[in-house]
Amino acid sequence: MRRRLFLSSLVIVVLAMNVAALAHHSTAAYQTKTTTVKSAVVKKFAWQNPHCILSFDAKDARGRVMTWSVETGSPSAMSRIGWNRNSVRPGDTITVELFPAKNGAPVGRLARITQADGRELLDSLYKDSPFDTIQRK
Amino acid sequence: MLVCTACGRPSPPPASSSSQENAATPRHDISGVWAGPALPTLQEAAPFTSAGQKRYQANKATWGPNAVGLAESNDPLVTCDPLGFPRSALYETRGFEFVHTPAKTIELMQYQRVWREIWTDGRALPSDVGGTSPSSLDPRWYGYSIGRWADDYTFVVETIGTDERSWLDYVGHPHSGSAHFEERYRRVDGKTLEVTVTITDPETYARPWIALKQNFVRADTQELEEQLCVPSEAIDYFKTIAEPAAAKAK
Repeated sequence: MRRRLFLSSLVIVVLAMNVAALAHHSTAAYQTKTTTVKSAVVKKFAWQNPHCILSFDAKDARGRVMTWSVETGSPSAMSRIGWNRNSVRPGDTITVELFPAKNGAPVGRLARITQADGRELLDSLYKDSPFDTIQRK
Repeated sequence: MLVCTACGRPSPPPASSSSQENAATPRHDISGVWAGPALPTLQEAAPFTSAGQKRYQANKATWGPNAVGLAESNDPLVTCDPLGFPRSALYETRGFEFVHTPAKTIELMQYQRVWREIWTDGRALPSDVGGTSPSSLDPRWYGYSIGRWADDYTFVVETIGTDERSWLDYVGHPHSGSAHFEERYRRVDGKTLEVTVTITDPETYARPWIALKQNFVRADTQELEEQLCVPSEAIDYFKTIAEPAAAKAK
């Protein structure tokens, strides 16, 4: 049985937004409630199309390390809201809030990260409004 | 605040927002950059013919009433095929630009960084695209287009000869190679462009129908971004994200 997504430091919150609202690809494979993973250790941040991929290790409820991969917006969408390819680096310990896959696989869509110094970065699902290209000036 | 104000790019020149907003709408001019949504709002329900319905059902889109997961989709986008026309007007419309030249208007599209040539020199649309004659023209992903001014503020584009492998939009509406498309670009005011796309395709649809009616906002200082479908990266995305997310739970 594929491991459920409950982690030792997991918190579930409901966000008042539609995960599918603004995505380039459908997000039908993901739950509509987010999961928060604390003490996530970044393995790789792939700054690539069509979606960047953040991979990290985190312990599950039994203390075993699981590797997660979550997609974000495209590089162009992410760069509009303050991200770049160096926003997170391998070895960084961060908190990751994500929309997990419905099927229990350790993949999902990013909602936000919180870095060790408390700074937050949102995914473009939150910030990539149709006209933010104008509003950002 | 997380909004990036510079993002490491050249800064646009300071613009007077008030003068920009109040600028008089120029005649015979839709040039400049226009910004809109990634997924424009689709309009009428498609009036399928039986053949059109059959083709629609064979298209496994990741959006719409019959959506499937990305790993199960046969959307041409999955393999980074060209969007083609009219999908380029009905999907990923975050940014596009028109440039007028004496003989043609060029449309530059942010997504995939492609362009269309819309002839305005008075020529007619080609009469034989996809035929069997030695002089027949071949269908093209972006078809053959001509444009004219219907009035001072409305630019009308007609397109034929599109490649029927492309989808109309992100929910998988099909089209035949004999489809005729009309785009109407109407300047509502100095900063708003209304775009209407009408499809006439008797093989696929029982009557002409409006697929899109969407307003876009002028974004003169907006840089068209590098938004590409890169095959090697798409393959990695599929292996890392799409396929695990689509796998049946064990």
